[in-house]
Amino acid sequence: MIRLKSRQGSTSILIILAFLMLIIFSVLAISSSSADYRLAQRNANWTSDYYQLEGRVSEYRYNLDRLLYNENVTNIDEIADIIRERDPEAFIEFTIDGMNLTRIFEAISGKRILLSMNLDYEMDSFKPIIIKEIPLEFQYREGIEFEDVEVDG
Amino acid sequence: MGFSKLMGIKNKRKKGFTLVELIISVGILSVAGAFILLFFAYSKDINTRAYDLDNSVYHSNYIIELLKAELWDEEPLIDMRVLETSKPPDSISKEIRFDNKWEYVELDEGHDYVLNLNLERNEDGVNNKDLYDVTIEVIKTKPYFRSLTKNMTIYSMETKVYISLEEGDSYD
Repeated sequence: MIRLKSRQGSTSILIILAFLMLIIFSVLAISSSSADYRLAQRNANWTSDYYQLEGRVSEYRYNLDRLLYNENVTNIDEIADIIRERDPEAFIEFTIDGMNLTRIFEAISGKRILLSMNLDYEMDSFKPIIIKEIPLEFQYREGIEFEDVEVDG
Repeated sequence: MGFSKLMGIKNKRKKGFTLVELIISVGILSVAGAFILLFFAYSKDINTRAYDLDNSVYHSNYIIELLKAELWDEEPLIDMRVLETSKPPDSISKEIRFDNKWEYVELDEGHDYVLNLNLERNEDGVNNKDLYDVTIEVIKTKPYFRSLTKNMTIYSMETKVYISLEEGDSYD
Protein backbone atom coordinates (compact mmCIF):
# COMPACT_ATOMS: atom_id res chain seq x y z
CA MET A 1 0.00 0.00 0.00
CA ILE A 2 1.36 3.39 -1.00
CA ARG A 3 1.21 6.06 1.61
CA LEU A 4 1.43 9.63 0.45
CA LYS A 5 3.44 11.21 3.18
CA SER A 6 3.76 14.60 1.57
CA ARG A 7 1.66 16.70 -0.77
CA GLN A 8 4.61 18.69 -2.01
CA GLY A 9 4.99 18.70 -5.82
CA SER A 10 1.34 18.07 -6.67
CA THR A 11 1.07 21.53 -8.27
CA SER A 12 4.03 20.80 -10.52
CA ILE A 13 2.48 17.50 -11.55
CA LEU A 14 -0.79 19.25 -12.32
CA ILE A 15 0.92 21.89 -14.45
CA ILE A 16 2.98 19.29 -16.30
CA LEU A 17 -0.19 17.25 -16.98
CA ALA A 18 -2.05 20.34 -18.18
CA PHE A 19 0.78 21.21 -20.54
CA LEU A 20 1.01 17.66 -21.80
CA MET A 21 -2.71 17.71 -22.54
CA LEU A 22 -2.38 21.01 -24.40
CA ILE A 23 0.55 19.69 -26.45
CA ILE A 24 -1.33 16.50 -27.33
CA PHE A 25 -4.47 18.41 -28.37
CA SER A 26 -2.50 20.94 -30.42
CA VAL A 27 -0.66 18.17 -32.28
CA LEU A 28 -3.97 16.41 -32.89
CA ALA A 29 -5.52 19.65 -34.16
CA ILE A 30 -2.61 20.23 -36.55
CA SER A 31 -2.63 16.67 -37.89
CA SER A 32 -6.40 16.78 -38.37
CA SER A 33 -6.33 20.09 -40.25
CA SER A 34 -3.36 18.94 -42.37
CA ALA A 35 -5.33 15.85 -43.36
CA ASP A 36 -8.28 18.10 -44.27
CA TYR A 37 -6.03 20.26 -46.40
CA ARG A 38 -4.51 17.27 -48.18
CA LEU A 39 -7.99 15.97 -48.94
CA ALA A 40 -9.04 19.39 -50.26
CA GLN A 41 -5.95 19.50 -52.49
CA ARG A 42 -6.69 16.02 -53.81
CA ASN A 43 -10.24 17.06 -54.60
CA ALA A 44 -8.99 20.23 -56.31
CA ASN A 45 -6.51 18.26 -58.46
CA TRP A 46 -9.17 15.70 -59.32
CA THR A 47 -11.58 18.47 -60.41
CA SER A 48 -8.94 20.26 -62.48
CA ASP A 49 -8.05 17.03 -64.26
CA TYR A 50 -11.70 16.20 -64.87
CA TYR A 51 -12.53 19.59 -66.40
CA GLN A 52 -9.37 19.55 -68.48
CA LEU A 53 -10.56 16.25 -69.98
CA GLU A 54 -14.05 17.63 -70.44
CA GLY A 55 -12.47 20.56 -72.28
CA ARG A 56 -10.88 18.08 -74.66
CA VAL A 57 -14.27 16.43 -75.16
CA SER A 58 -15.84 19.82 -75.97
CA GLU A 59 -13.10 20.58 -78.47
CA TYR A 60 -13.58 17.17 -80.08
CA ARG A 61 -17.32 17.76 -80.43
CA TYR A 62 -16.67 21.20 -81.90
CA ASN A 63 -14.22 19.75 -84.44
CA LEU A 64 -16.73 17.08 -85.46
CA ASP A 65 -19.45 19.69 -85.94
CA ARG A 66 -17.08 21.76 -88.06
CA LEU A 67 -16.30 18.67 -90.08
CA LEU A 68 -19.99 18.21 -90.81
CA TYR A 69 -20.38 21.80 -91.95
CA ASN A 70 -17.16 22.37 -93.82
CA GLU A 71 -16.59 19.10 -95.66
CA ASN A 72 -18.72 18.37 -98.65
CA VAL A 73 -20.02 15.02 -97.56
CA THR A 74 -23.23 13.55 -98.78
CA ASN A 75 -23.59 10.34 -96.82
CA ILE A 76 -22.75 8.94 -93.40
CA ASP A 77 -20.13 6.47 -94.73
CA GLU A 78 -17.98 9.30 -96.04
CA ILE A 79 -18.01 10.99 -92.65
CA ALA A 80 -17.07 7.73 -90.97
CA ASP A 81 -14.14 7.31 -93.36
CA ILE A 82 -12.92 10.87 -92.74
CA ILE A 83 -13.14 10.41 -88.94
CA ARG A 84 -11.33 7.06 -89.10
CA GLU A 85 -8.59 8.65 -91.14
CA ARG A 86 -8.17 11.68 -88.89
CA ASP A 87 -8.68 10.00 -85.54
CA PRO A 88 -7.71 6.31 -85.48
CA GLU A 89 -8.66 6.06 -81.78
CA ALA A 90 -12.33 6.71 -82.51
CA PHE A 91 -14.52 3.61 -82.53
CA ILE A 92 -17.34 3.80 -85.06
CA GLU A 93 -20.26 1.45 -85.46
CA PHE A 94 -23.34 1.74 -87.62
CA THR A 95 -26.81 1.29 -86.18
CA ILE A 96 -30.37 1.58 -87.44
CA ASP A 97 -30.45 5.22 -86.29
CA GLY A 98 -27.22 6.15 -87.98
CA MET A 99 -23.72 6.08 -86.61
CA ASN A 100 -22.36 5.73 -83.10
CA LEU A 101 -18.94 7.16 -82.28
CA THR A 102 -17.12 6.19 -79.09
CA ARG A 103 -13.87 7.74 -77.98
CA ILE A 104 -11.86 7.55 -74.74
CA PHE A 105 -9.84 10.55 -73.59
CA GLU A 106 -7.02 10.08 -71.12
CA ALA A 107 -5.22 12.64 -68.96
CA ILE A 108 -1.58 12.44 -67.81
CA SER A 109 -2.79 11.50 -64.33
CA GLY A 110 -4.49 8.39 -65.74
CA LYS A 111 -8.02 9.73 -65.45
CA ARG A 112 -10.21 8.69 -68.39
CA ILE A 113 -13.45 9.98 -69.87
CA LEU A 114 -15.70 8.06 -72.21
CA LEU A 115 -17.56 9.98 -74.91
CA SER A 116 -20.26 8.35 -76.96
CA MET A 117 -22.18 10.23 -79.66
CA ASN A 118 -24.77 9.53 -82.28
CA LEU A 119 -25.14 10.95 -85.78
CA ASP A 120 -28.42 10.27 -87.53
CA TYR A 121 -28.95 10.05 -91.28
CA GLU A 122 -30.02 13.71 -91.52
CA MET A 123 -26.46 14.55 -90.44
CA ASP A 124 -27.33 17.75 -88.53
CA SER A 125 -24.95 17.33 -85.65
CA PHE A 126 -23.41 14.76 -83.35
CA LYS A 127 -25.61 14.26 -80.30
CA PRO A 128 -23.83 13.14 -77.15
CA ILE A 129 -25.24 10.00 -75.54
CA ILE A 130 -22.70 9.39 -72.79
CA ILE A 131 -20.01 11.59 -71.29
CA LYS A 132 -18.71 9.92 -68.15
CA GLU A 133 -15.59 9.21 -66.23
CA ILE A 134 -14.24 5.68 -66.27
CA PRO A 135 -13.42 4.80 -62.65
CA LEU A 136 -9.83 3.80 -61.91
CA GLU A 137 -11.03 0.42 -60.65
CA PHE A 138 -11.75 -0.56 -64.22
CA GLN A 139 -8.25 0.14 -65.42
CA TYR A 140 -6.31 -3.07 -65.23
CA ARG A 141 -2.68 -2.10 -64.94
CA GLU A 142 -1.34 -5.62 -65.11
CA GLY A 143 -2.74 -8.33 -67.29
CA ILE A 144 -3.27 -11.84 -66.00
CA GLU A 145 -0.69 -14.25 -67.36
CA PHE A 146 -2.36 -17.59 -67.90
CA GLU A 147 0.96 -19.38 -68.11
CA ASP A 148 1.37 -18.97 -64.37
CA VAL A 149 -1.89 -20.69 -63.57
CA GLU A 150 -1.38 -24.30 -62.73
CA VAL A 151 -4.18 -26.70 -63.46
CA ASP A 152 -4.28 -29.99 -61.67
CA GLY A 153 -4.82 -32.79 -64.11
CA MET B 1 25.91 30.37 18.85
CA GLY B 2 24.57 32.13 15.85
CA PHE B 3 24.17 35.84 15.42
CA SER B 4 20.41 35.79 15.27
CA LYS B 5 20.16 33.62 18.35
CA LEU B 6 22.50 35.97 20.11
CA MET B 7 20.31 38.92 19.20
CA GLY B 8 17.15 37.08 20.21
CA ILE B 9 15.77 37.00 16.69
CA LYS B 10 13.83 33.90 15.77
CA ASN B 11 14.87 32.69 12.37
CA LYS B 12 11.86 30.99 10.98
CA ARG B 13 12.84 29.19 7.79
CA LYS B 14 9.88 29.40 5.45
CA LYS B 15 9.48 26.80 2.78
CA GLY B 16 8.71 28.45 -0.58
CA PHE B 17 10.13 29.95 -3.76
CA THR B 18 12.30 32.96 -4.16
CA LEU B 19 11.34 35.75 -6.55
CA VAL B 20 13.98 34.66 -9.06
CA GLU B 21 12.66 31.10 -9.06
CA LEU B 22 9.15 32.36 -9.62
CA ILE B 23 10.18 34.65 -12.46
CA ILE B 24 12.09 31.83 -14.16
CA SER B 25 9.23 29.34 -13.81
CA VAL B 26 6.62 31.83 -15.05
CA GLY B 27 8.93 32.67 -17.98
CA ILE B 28 9.35 29.02 -18.92
CA LEU B 29 5.61 28.40 -18.63
CA SER B 30 4.74 31.43 -20.75
CA VAL B 31 7.23 30.48 -23.50
CA ALA B 32 5.85 26.93 -23.55
CA GLY B 33 2.29 28.29 -23.54
CA ALA B 34 3.07 30.64 -26.43
CA PHE B 35 4.43 27.72 -28.47
CA ILE B 36 1.33 25.68 -27.81
CA LEU B 37 -0.92 28.60 -28.77
CA LEU B 38 1.09 28.96 -31.96
CA PHE B 39 0.35 25.31 -32.74
CA PHE B 40 -3.38 26.00 -32.39
CA ALA B 41 -3.09 29.12 -34.54
CA TYR B 42 -1.29 27.11 -37.25
CA SER B 43 -3.97 24.48 -37.09
CA LYS B 44 -6.68 27.12 -37.55
CA ASP B 45 -4.76 28.60 -40.48
CA ILE B 46 -4.46 25.23 -42.24
CA ASN B 47 -8.15 24.62 -41.60
CA THR B 48 -9.03 27.99 -43.15
CA ARG B 49 -6.91 27.17 -46.20
CA ALA B 50 -8.64 23.80 -46.61
CA TYR B 51 -12.06 25.44 -46.23
CA ASP B 52 -11.16 28.12 -48.81
CA LEU B 53 -9.84 25.56 -51.28
CA ASP B 54 -12.99 23.45 -50.93
CA ASN B 55 -15.21 26.49 -51.48
CA SER B 56 -13.14 27.67 -54.44
CA VAL B 57 -13.48 24.28 -56.10
CA TYR B 58 -17.20 24.16 -55.33
CA HIS B 59 -17.92 27.62 -56.80
CA SER B 60 -15.71 27.00 -59.85
CA ASN B 61 -17.54 23.73 -60.56
CA TYR B 62 -20.89 25.43 -60.09
CA ILE B 63 -20.04 28.18 -62.57
CA ILE B 64 -18.72 25.75 -65.20
CA GLU B 65 -21.81 23.57 -64.88
CA LEU B 66 -24.03 26.66 -65.23
CA LEU B 67 -22.09 27.67 -68.34
CA LYS B 68 -22.43 24.20 -69.84
CA ALA B 69 -26.16 24.16 -69.11
CA GLU B 70 -26.44 27.75 -70.43
CA LEU B 71 -28.36 28.87 -67.35
CA TRP B 72 -27.84 32.59 -67.71
CA ASP B 73 -30.48 33.58 -65.15
CA GLU B 74 -28.61 32.08 -62.20
CA GLU B 75 -26.89 34.54 -59.91
CA PRO B 76 -23.22 34.45 -60.89
CA LEU B 77 -23.96 34.44 -64.61
CA ILE B 78 -26.58 37.19 -64.73
CA ASP B 79 -25.57 39.87 -67.25
CA MET B 80 -23.18 37.52 -69.04
CA ARG B 81 -25.60 36.63 -71.79
CA VAL B 82 -24.96 38.66 -74.86
CA LEU B 83 -28.39 39.50 -76.17
CA GLU B 84 -27.74 42.81 -77.87
CA THR B 85 -24.91 41.84 -80.14
CA SER B 86 -25.45 40.05 -83.40
CA LYS B 87 -22.17 38.21 -82.94
CA PRO B 88 -20.77 37.10 -79.57
CA PRO B 89 -17.65 38.97 -78.45
CA ASP B 90 -14.23 37.32 -78.61
CA SER B 91 -13.62 37.71 -74.91
CA ILE B 92 -15.85 38.05 -71.87
CA SER B 93 -14.64 38.54 -68.31
CA LYS B 94 -16.49 38.69 -65.05
CA GLU B 95 -15.42 39.29 -61.50
CA ILE B 96 -17.53 37.47 -58.91
CA ARG B 97 -17.00 38.57 -55.32
CA PHE B 98 -17.58 36.72 -52.06
CA ASP B 99 -17.54 37.74 -48.41
CA ASN B 100 -15.73 35.80 -45.67
CA LYS B 101 -18.60 33.29 -45.52
CA TRP B 102 -18.45 32.67 -49.25
CA GLU B 103 -21.74 34.46 -49.97
CA TYR B 104 -22.06 36.53 -53.14
CA VAL B 105 -21.62 40.26 -52.62
CA GLU B 106 -22.08 43.25 -54.88
CA LEU B 107 -19.07 44.87 -56.52
CA ASP B 108 -19.17 47.93 -54.25
CA GLU B 109 -19.39 45.90 -51.02
CA GLY B 110 -16.50 44.63 -48.94
CA HIS B 111 -15.20 41.27 -50.03
CA ASP B 112 -12.62 38.67 -49.06
CA TYR B 113 -12.51 36.46 -52.16
CA VAL B 114 -12.67 37.20 -55.87
CA LEU B 115 -13.41 34.70 -58.61
CA ASN B 116 -12.19 35.85 -62.01
CA LEU B 117 -14.03 34.19 -64.85
CA ASN B 118 -12.69 34.64 -68.35
CA LEU B 119 -14.10 33.29 -71.60
CA GLU B 120 -12.10 33.50 -74.82
CA ARG B 121 -13.74 32.53 -78.08
CA ASN B 122 -11.61 30.04 -79.97
CA GLU B 123 -12.64 30.21 -83.59
CA ASP B 124 -15.78 30.80 -85.59
CA GLY B 125 -18.63 28.79 -84.27
CA VAL B 126 -20.82 26.22 -85.88
CA ASN B 127 -24.58 25.87 -85.63
CA ASN B 128 -24.99 28.92 -83.35
CA LYS B 129 -22.44 27.49 -80.94
CA ASP B 130 -18.89 28.48 -80.11
CA LEU B 131 -15.94 26.87 -78.43
CA TYR B 132 -14.72 28.97 -75.51
CA ASP B 133 -11.55 28.68 -73.47
CA VAL B 134 -12.67 29.11 -69.86
CA THR B 135 -10.23 30.26 -67.22
CA ILE B 136 -11.18 30.52 -63.57
CA GLU B 137 -8.96 31.96 -60.88
CA VAL B 138 -9.97 32.33 -57.23
CA ILE B 139 -8.07 34.94 -55.23
CA LYS B 140 -8.04 35.74 -51.51
CA THR B 141 -7.66 39.45 -51.08
CA LYS B 142 -6.53 39.39 -47.45
CA PRO B 143 -3.37 37.57 -46.33
CA TYR B 144 -3.44 34.35 -44.35
CA PHE B 145 -1.96 33.97 -40.86
CA ARG B 146 1.83 34.57 -40.85
CA SER B 147 1.73 35.40 -44.56
CA LEU B 148 2.30 38.82 -46.04
CA THR B 149 1.04 37.91 -49.52
CA LYS B 150 -2.11 39.74 -50.45
CA ASN B 151 -4.24 38.66 -53.41
CA MET B 152 -3.02 35.10 -53.21
CA THR B 153 -4.37 32.64 -55.78
CA ILE B 154 -6.16 29.82 -54.00
CA TYR B 155 -7.26 27.82 -57.01
CA SER B 156 -7.19 28.06 -60.78
CA MET B 157 -8.52 25.86 -63.53
CA GLU B 158 -8.86 25.80 -67.29
CA THR B 159 -11.33 24.06 -69.52
CA LYS B 160 -13.25 24.47 -72.74
CA VAL B 161 -16.98 24.72 -73.21
CA TYR B 162 -18.95 24.35 -76.40
CA ILE B 163 -21.91 26.64 -75.82
CA SER B 164 -24.07 29.33 -77.29
CA LEU B 165 -23.85 32.79 -75.75
CA GLU B 166 -26.42 34.17 -78.07
CA GLU B 167 -30.18 33.89 -78.03
CA GLY B 168 -32.17 33.56 -81.18
CA ASP B 169 -31.12 32.93 -84.75
CA SER B 170 -27.69 31.96 -85.85
CA TYR B 171 -25.23 34.59 -86.93
CA ASP B 172 -23.00 34.78 -89.99
